[in-house]
Formats: sequence, C-alpha cells, structure tokens
Amino acid sequence: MSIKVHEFKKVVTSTVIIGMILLFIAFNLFLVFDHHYIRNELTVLNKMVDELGYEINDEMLENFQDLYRDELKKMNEITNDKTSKTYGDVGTFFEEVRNDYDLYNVYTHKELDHMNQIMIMEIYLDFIKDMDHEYASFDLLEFAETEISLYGLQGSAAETARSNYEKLGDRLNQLLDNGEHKNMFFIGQIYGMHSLLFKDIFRVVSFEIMILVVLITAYIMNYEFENKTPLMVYSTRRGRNIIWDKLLVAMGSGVIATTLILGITLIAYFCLFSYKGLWTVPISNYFNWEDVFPLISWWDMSFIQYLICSIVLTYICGILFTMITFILSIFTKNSYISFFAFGILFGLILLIPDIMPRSNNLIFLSGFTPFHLVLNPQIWFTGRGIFTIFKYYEITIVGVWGLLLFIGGKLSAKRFIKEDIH
Amino acid sequence: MKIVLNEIKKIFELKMIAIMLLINFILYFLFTSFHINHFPNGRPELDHYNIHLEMLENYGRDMDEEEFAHFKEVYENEVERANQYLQEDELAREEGISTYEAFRSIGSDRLGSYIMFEERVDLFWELQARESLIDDYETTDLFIERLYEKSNEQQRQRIDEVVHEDRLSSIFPNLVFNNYTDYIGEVCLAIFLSIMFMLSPIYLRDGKNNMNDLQYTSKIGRNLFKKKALGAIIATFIIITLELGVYFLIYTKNNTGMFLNSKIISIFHKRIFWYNLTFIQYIVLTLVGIYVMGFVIALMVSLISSLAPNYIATIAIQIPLVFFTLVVFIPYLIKYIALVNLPKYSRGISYLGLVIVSLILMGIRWRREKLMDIA
Amino acid sequence: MLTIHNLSKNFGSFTALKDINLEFTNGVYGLLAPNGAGKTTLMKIITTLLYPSGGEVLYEGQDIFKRGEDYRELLGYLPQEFGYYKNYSPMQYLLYIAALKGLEGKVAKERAIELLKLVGLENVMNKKMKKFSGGMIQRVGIAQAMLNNPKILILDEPTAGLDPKERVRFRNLLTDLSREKIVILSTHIVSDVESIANEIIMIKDKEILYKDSMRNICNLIEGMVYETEVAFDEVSSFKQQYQSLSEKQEQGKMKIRFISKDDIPASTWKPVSPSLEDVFLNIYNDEILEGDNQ
Repeated sequence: MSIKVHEFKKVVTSTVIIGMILLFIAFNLFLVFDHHYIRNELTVLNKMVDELGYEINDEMLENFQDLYRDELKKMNEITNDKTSKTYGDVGTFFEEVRNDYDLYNVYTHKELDHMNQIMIMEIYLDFIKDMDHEYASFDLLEFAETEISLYGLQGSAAETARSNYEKLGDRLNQLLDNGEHKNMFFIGQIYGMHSLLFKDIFRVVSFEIMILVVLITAYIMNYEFENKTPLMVYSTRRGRNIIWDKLLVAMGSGVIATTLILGITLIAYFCLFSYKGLWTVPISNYFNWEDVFPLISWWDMSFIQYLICSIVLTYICGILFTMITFILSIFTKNSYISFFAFGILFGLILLIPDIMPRSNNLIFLSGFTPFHLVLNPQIWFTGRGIFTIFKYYEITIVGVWGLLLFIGGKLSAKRFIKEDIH
Repeated sequence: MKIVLNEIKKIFELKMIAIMLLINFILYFLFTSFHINHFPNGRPELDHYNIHLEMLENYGRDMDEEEFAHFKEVYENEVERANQYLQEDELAREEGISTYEAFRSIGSDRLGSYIMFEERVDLFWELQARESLIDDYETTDLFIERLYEKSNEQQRQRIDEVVHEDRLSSIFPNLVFNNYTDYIGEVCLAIFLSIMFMLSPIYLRDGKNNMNDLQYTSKIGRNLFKKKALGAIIATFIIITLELGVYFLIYTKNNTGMFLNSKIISIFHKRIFWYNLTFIQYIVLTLVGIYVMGFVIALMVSLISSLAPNYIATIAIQIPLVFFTLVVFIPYLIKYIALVNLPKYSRGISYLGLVIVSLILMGIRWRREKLMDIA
Repeated sequence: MLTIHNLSKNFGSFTALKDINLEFTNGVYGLLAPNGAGKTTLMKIITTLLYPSGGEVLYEGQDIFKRGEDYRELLGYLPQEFGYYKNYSPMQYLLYIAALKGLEGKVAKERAIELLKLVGLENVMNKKMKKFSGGMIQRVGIAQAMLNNPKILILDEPTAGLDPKERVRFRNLLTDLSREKIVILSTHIVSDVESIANEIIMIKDKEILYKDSMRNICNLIEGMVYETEVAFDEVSSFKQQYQSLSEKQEQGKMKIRFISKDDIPASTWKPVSPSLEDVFLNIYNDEILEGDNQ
C-alpha cells in the first residue's frame, strides 16, 4: 500500500497537474455560465411540470389547455385595460409589440415577463400538436439511404447500415408504443439542452480528462527515467513490478481528476439550470428532437439513468486512455514523446475509416475506438450516425478495448521486465 | 555561429523531425486537405468560381457599369437557353413549366431536384450563380448601409473612402478568399504546433541532463543561453519556411492564380479591409504575420522550456497557449489580418506588443540566468 | 596565479564557506575534506557556476567574474556528475564541447583525437556513449576538460569509477599535463592525492584548515602514531582512551593503529610514520562523515 501512497504523492505534489485541473474547471464554469441567459425561460417548464406532471396524455393536455386559457384570459384583461385590445394568442401579441416600441413601453417588465411565460406555454402546446405528425412523417429508412450515399457505402457495408437502421426503426416503434416520446422536456430546437450538456460539456470534459490522464500517466510512468532513479528503483524488492503500482495510481489519479472536473462542472450546471421534476423523464422524448433526427435511445432510459451511464462511460474512457498511455510509456520511456505518441495515435485512428474500402464491413470496425467515442458523447446509447448506430456500440468498445489493452499491457509489462535497464 | 549551429542541430534531432512530420501528416489529412480536395466545394460554389473566371476574361480585373450591363445581357441570353431547355424537357412539359421564370417560382419540387440534382444541368446552376452575383452588384447600397449600421466612426470613414474611390467593382469571389483563409488557418496551426513541439526541449533537455555545468564553464559560458534563443529563432525560420513552401506548393492545386492581382475589396467578396490590397499582397501580409507570430511563439516556448521543471510541465503550460493561439491569434491576427472588424492599427500594435513582451520576458530570464547560482 | 580572497558563500541562511583565503600557483592541489565540507561549493565558485556571497576570486589580479570569457577560456572542468548526450559518440561530444570552448574546427578535431587516444578510447570514438561503462564515460569527461589545454584545471572526484589500472594511467597523465598549470582536484581517495598533489588543502568547519605540502601536513602528527596489538576484550576500553585509526585482526589479537598524545609511549607500542590518511582521520574525527557534497 505504501508504495502506492508514495507514487500518488508524485502526482499530488505536481503543481502543474493541480494547476491544469483548476484551469479546466475554470474553463468549464465559464462554458456553463456562458448560457445563463436561457435560465429564466427554462424554469417555466419546471413550474408546468410541477402542476401538470411531465407525462403528456389526454388528461394532462386538457389541464394544460385550461391553464393556458386561464393565463391568456388574465393577459387579455391586462391588455384590455391598457390598450383596449385582446389577443387570440400570445404570439400575435408579441409580434405587435416587437414592431411597435410605444406599445412595448405600455407594459411593465414584470408584465412582459409573465406574458413571455405564457408564450412559452403556447409554444409547448404548438409543439405537442405537431408531435404525432412529426413522428409519422419521419422516414428513418430514407435517412439511412441518404447517409449511405453520402458516405458512398456499398455492398455488405451498405447492407449492414440498412439492417442497423431497420433495427433502430423497430426500437423507434417500440418507443412510440411505450409513449416514451410523450413527455415534457426543455425544447431542444430552441434551447438545445441535450447538446449543451452532452455534446458541449461532456465532450470538453472528456478531452480535458484525456489530456490529464495522458499527462499523469506519462509523468508517473517515466518518473524514474527522468529523475535518473531507474537503477535504484527497479532493483528493489518490488522492482519492476512497481509499474503495476504506477498504473493503479495513474488510474486512481485519473478517477480523482475526473471526479473533480466532472463533479464540479455538473454541480454548476445543475445549479444554474434546474432539472427539478425532470430527472425521471425518458431521454427519448419528443422535445429532445433537436434537428433532423429524433433522439432514439436503444433502451428505455430516464434522463437520470442516461446521465449516470454517460458519467460512468466518461470514467471508463479515462481508464482506457490511461492504459493506452501506460503501454506507450513502456516503449518510449519519455513523457514528452509519450504525450505526442498518444496524440499521433489518436490522429491515425481517426484517419483509418477514411482509407477503408467502402464496401466492406471493416469500415465499421475501424470506428469502434474510444477515440471515436469521446468525439460524440451526445449520441452515446442512441442510434443516429451511420458508423455509431450499433446497439451495443459503447459496450463493445469498452469491452473489446478493455480486454485488448489488458492483454497489451500484460505483454508490454512482460517485455519491460525482461528489458535491459541502463 | 558554430555554437548556434550546434544548438540548431540538437533541435533537429532525427527522431523529433520524424514525429513533427507525423504531426503535420495527421493534421493535413484530418483538417487541411479538405480545403484542397473540396475546392470549389460542390455547387453552386463551382459555378460561382467558373463565372468569376468568365468575368475576369471578359471584363478584366474590374467590372464597370457598362460591363455589368453586358453581364446582365449574357444572363438574359442564358435564361433564353434555359427556356428552350425547359420546353424540350419531358418532365417540364408534363409539369407544364415552359419558362425559366416559372421554374424559379415553383421552388424545390420534383422538377427542381430532377434538373439540379439528378441531371445536374450546368446551365441552371450557373443561372443561379449569375443571379446572386447580379443581386450582389445591384444591392451594393444596401450592403454598405447594413455594414454602416454595425460600424463605428473610424470604420465608417474607411467605408466612405472605399465607396468614394469606387473600389467595390473588383472581380474577386469570396469563395477564393474564404478558402485561402481557412486553408492558411489550418496551416498556421500545423506550423505553430511544429514549432512548439521542436523547441520545447531546447533548454530543458540540457538542464535535465546536467549539461549546464560543462556548458557554463566553457569559454562561451552563460552566453550559451542567448545562443540557444538565437538558435530557436533560426530553427523557427527554417520550420516556417519549409512548411510554408510545402503547403503553398499544395495550395497551387487550387488554381486561384488568376485572382492574385485582383483587389480583394469587392462587392462580390463583401468584406472591407483597411488597405487596398490585392490578393497576393494579402497573402504576403498573412505570411509576414505567420513569421512574426512564429518568432513570438518560439520565444515563449523557449521561456517555458527554461523555466519548466520537466516535460509534462512544458506541455501543460503550453496547452493554454495552444488554445489562445487557436482562438485569438490565428483568426484575428493572421486569417483576417487587415479586416475592418478591429480598429485600424490594432493588429500592428498587437504584434508589436507581443514581440516586445516576449523579448522583455526573455531578457529578464537572461538577466536572471546570468547571475544565477548553478547548483 | 589564482587568488581567493575572504571568500564566503551562503545558501539562504546556511553558510557553506566562510572567509576562505587561498593562493594557487602552477602545480597540483588536492582538496581534501569529508563530504559536505564545501569542496564542491569551492570548486563551483572557481568555475564561475556559483557567485560568492562575499570576497573575491582573482586570476592574475583580475576578478574572474568580470573577466568572464577570457577567464573561462583558460578553464577546464570535470564536474562530479557531468552531463552527456546518450546518442552522441565521444567524438561528436568532444567536438560539441570544443565549439563551446571556442576551438577552431580543425584544431578541435585534432585535439579530440589526440585526447581520445590519450585516455584510451580511440577504438570507440565513433560509438554511441549509450552503452559505455562508468569508467569510459569518466575518461570522456577527463578528455573534455583538457580540450582547450586549460591553464586552470578543476577536477571534482576525477578518479571515481576508474579501475586501479585506469587510475594509475590517470595519475601519470595528470603529472604529465600538470606542468605549467594550476590543477585543483578533490577526492575521497587519499592515495590519489598522496601520489599526485604537490599541496594539500584541508577544509574544516567551512574554513581552510591547512594548505601545505603533504610532508608538512603529515609532520603535524609526527611521533603520535603507533601500532600495537590488543587482546579482544580490551579493545573497547583501549579505543575509549586513544583514537583508533585502523584495526585489523591478526593471530587472535586486534592490531590497532592509533594516535596518542601521551609523552611516554608504552613499550608495546610501535611508532610508525604518519600517513595522510592518519591526518585526515585525526582531523575529521569529530565530524559526522555523512551527508551530501553540496
């Protein structure tokens, strides 16, 4: 145990690594608070869900419409008072107000704020009205064909893609049967909260963690060679097996760094944006449909389950990157070169799909890497892109790479143990 | 000089060069090559490019009112040809579309996608491009007005000047400019990363290796610190020159040579610059920027190398530097170096400031090195 | 002539050297002191790596720090642990150092070959130093110090890592080279100093204790060193009484070499002539012989 403590001290006492963690956290906080302006509008949903629940069904819809009508009536009383006008919906009101500055000035901030809240309700109702039609007119297989021709897939590769999209189609039907889509959430097309959290924030965090674990692992693995202590350290009783302690400590430090960065970032995020009442909303809801493709998770997951899975996957990616650097360090024996070797490996792996034949299933195989995984955290556990649509994409990567890296690590360590140390 | 040469030799270690080449290779194929392989990037960009060539041939570097009238005439003739095409096309007849005007007004339906995307009829694509160019030319006032709204006093003066001197009639497509700036932005990143990678060990390598005792007691002594800095600058010059050589050789594949002597301020380009530059002058300006920025980065990296206790620290300290280079230096000080979006002398002052600050920091570091105990 | 005048050196609140006054003319000087006494600090000041906190170091009457390049041109230095590039051959390495020392290209090459022959590395002069033994590396170090034919040669533990044969070779080399120059070397190995140095400098408590010829220094304890045989059970009480210098078992008894300041020696005591080692042990008797050289 005490060996690990000593190795761990090497990391903790490195001001650079501590400094990097602080810098990354500061950057993330900036990233989160940069979006603070949408905060007020988001809370409207919290209030609605509080009163109506998040599940969209006939009863809820009725209550919703009643609520909306009440509010609209109240608004019309005010407008009638002030300008002797009434409106059929809030949209018309705002259109008028926007074009007429004098009219705008008639109302107090508080009133306008309130009307804005009713406006948001109205938008929700509009969205809900279109929901069934949107899903009905969404053609998954047509999307598949576009993707296939865009990437020029042929032969068995194209077949695989088609069958994947068919499977996703089955899941979409199941999702619709379950009514997973019929749930209230932040409007993706307006606020893009799924993208903000899982694309922007999780991706940045994943890259920060990657940089950190590579630096930590390269640092600790090459520490002896760079401090001219390998002769002494590797001839002790624990000897060269100390690299296993180093690996564990690197992993542990990576986990701690991940916890700090991800933890503080997420706490800031959820403090700023209230998810009150929304934690258990299915992730595949209609409002998470941000652009041309709906969000279709392979499993019926709630938001909180999805979040936890993403967090776990982020930790695991960090561990996989630690193992990759572990192996690289054994060969380079130089932290500087290890870092760049990792970067080059990253780049080369991203280039491989480009040179793969488009007609062979191997092209999919070349996309099964943790590097591809961290590039697109917003589509984890969902079906979407042609190369990542596999149901068990994430699990396969983690399993196969974990196993390969374990074997690779064992073999590299074996080599290291037999190596001459000068 | 021999000492500097020796230091440069140490910078260009074979293993380091190999890794630098790999880094460049990867960055090229991941990002940079896009701007070469996809230029012009599909349609209607290709048609814009072709029509600009035609304009260049017919009207020279500028297009005056008379020439514009001719350009419109050509357009009318082309419309006539389109009408004929539609009258002969079966699907068009089926749909009851017989004129180009009618075709335009129906928007994107079956016929539209058939002609544009399935048949890919050049004529129709080109008509679209011509329309947008005619529109650009005819709405000059509107463009100026919009720009005016977003501008401050100094910028408005410059806009007035441009309008007054009638400098908007140059034939210069914005796609060529965008392609160049995108390309050079990626090239900058590759070059700056190469410099950082190659120079980071410059002081650290000898420091970690106990070399200082021997070096500092030799005749050259602590002056070696300065020689190394000079070596870094020369190595940077070599790296920049070689990489720019290769990347510009690749750039010639884009065939934009005919625009080199065109003025870049143009109603078709829709950007106003502080100076009346031709495309080649602008390119030279960006290259000067790259050299100066490269030297600044070389000095900063040397400084970090002389202070950092180990390699991991040099990397970690440089990560914010890379970020800053990417987000601030490359876009504001190189890609859009003369654009009116920033005050007229802001770039010059920034460059001067960066050079002075990095020189002062290195100077302070040198003075400390000169008087430091080498324990 | 190299003159050290009232030199002192502090590291923060720690005093490493205090009021050192020394004069060096051509010849070999052995710096003898236990680890941590300030040997390396003194050498690093003479080589301009450390700046004095007080006092000055003059060469031919001029401050060495002011003379700068002129002074370092005359300097050869072999640090205790010196750096080298693993991927360089001794030849490349010497040429690199020669460039730093301001030697002309052709001259440098000739000189490097000459020196590599002298230290017996001519067969491996183009092999990478990666796989060299400690002794080979040390010989490269000696060669680099001689490159510029220095007037002042500073050698910090030059014989460390050399085998007995190499050490003899080094001694002869040094005797040859030491004419017309100032050689200052530090070592733990007393026999090295004995055989090469003209003068011995001893530092104690941050100050110069002696600077004299070996004979004079040995004379300090002339007539006080004896050898005798003591029964095992009396050894410890004997050692309490007298300072033991060395002990070895011989025919069931302990043979002890020791110092006695008593005027009347016992009849079983056999007087012997003192060696430098005896003086060393006598002087540093009360010091804890531990610690770093810094």
